[in-house]
Amino acid sequence: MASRPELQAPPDIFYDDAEARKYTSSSRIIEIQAELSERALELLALPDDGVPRLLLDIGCGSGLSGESISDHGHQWIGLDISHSMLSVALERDVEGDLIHSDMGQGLALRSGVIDGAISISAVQWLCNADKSSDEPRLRLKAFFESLYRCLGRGARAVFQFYPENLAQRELILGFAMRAGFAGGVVVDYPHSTKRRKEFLVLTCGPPSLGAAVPNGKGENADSCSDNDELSGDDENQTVCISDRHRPRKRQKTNKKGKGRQWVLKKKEQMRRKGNAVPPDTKYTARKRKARF
Amino acid sequence: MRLLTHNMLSCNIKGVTNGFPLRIEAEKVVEKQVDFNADFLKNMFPKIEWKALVAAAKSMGYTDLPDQAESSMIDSEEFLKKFHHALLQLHLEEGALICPETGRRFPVNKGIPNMLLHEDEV
Repeated sequence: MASRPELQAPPDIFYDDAEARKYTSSSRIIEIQAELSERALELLALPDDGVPRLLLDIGCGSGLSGESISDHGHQWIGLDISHSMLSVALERDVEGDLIHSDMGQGLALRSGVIDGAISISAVQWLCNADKSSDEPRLRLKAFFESLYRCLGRGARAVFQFYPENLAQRELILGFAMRAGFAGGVVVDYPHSTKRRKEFLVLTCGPPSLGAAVPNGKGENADSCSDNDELSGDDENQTVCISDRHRPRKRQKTNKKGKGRQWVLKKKEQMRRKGNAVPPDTKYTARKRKARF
Repeated sequence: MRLLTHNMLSCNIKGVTNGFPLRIEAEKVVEKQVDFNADFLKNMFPKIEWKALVAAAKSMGYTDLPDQAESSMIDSEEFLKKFHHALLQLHLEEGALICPETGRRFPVNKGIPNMLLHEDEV
């Protein structure tokens, strides 16, 4: 499989004119991006009152995802670092306004003005250090803090992205939490390698009734709700006081041990599972000498 | 770039506390037709910084907006039409946005403002 674009070049260089055109003219990519955008908008859970909202499209590229937003009747502001991609967006005459900026430098927006944010296939680019002066952690921090600030109360941010590995996902989640967001990761079709898609759903402000992390699609789909991890981290940050002089609870051991009945029951269970188990004889669970 | 977006933009150079609103230097302004949606305007109204919008509209050549705006005015159709025109139909195609505190120029080309910061500004 071709290597990840993030490992080949920084986004503004990888998405040059040729690549931007290729990306936007591929019908497969157009279809996938439309599907991802629709799903992201669904996860955004905007109120169904027919009132157009003001959304952010972070890493809007050539406007493929922005078109889905316009189709839903909302206004949007798109940001992207690649000039070539933005030029293609201009050609496609998208309805949203475009801003040429770097999300890792922070979003240049006032507080509390945005009703929601989506990002399709973009935030994994934040994890790469492209210039020697870059430090992914600082960029992630700047991005999530400024995003938290510019979102209105109760607004959500949904990011579809491709984490390289578990560590990258944890890194992104960690910085989102530190900025004040709540939420988790929704995985669609977790068991299919081709169709598997991950969405990071973040909420601003205190969790309300409607703020439970939605379930992913697909059979036996779980929402890997990292809610516990997000709040658990706080607990790990408290200081542990150890007191040597405090009497420890002695581990209670049952002197009776596990008798023959228990052993026979366990062997039956194993047989039912299909394991190879020696037959039960008069020697099964026989009392042995203390030093075996 | 519409004035809706301009009203949201704030200079995020390190150390800048008063980066809003950005002053507009308009070289080319274009008017585009956008569908009128009263619900959107009423929803956006509380979030808009009115003074900044009036100043921005003036620098783009539109002076019909009232200087002050109260929430009672959004019931007036006439007011909404002016609001709609200023907010969504005026486009800055070429020009620059200037930070009120540092004077830094963010150029606007083909309607896209370049908000990329230099390394020492982050």
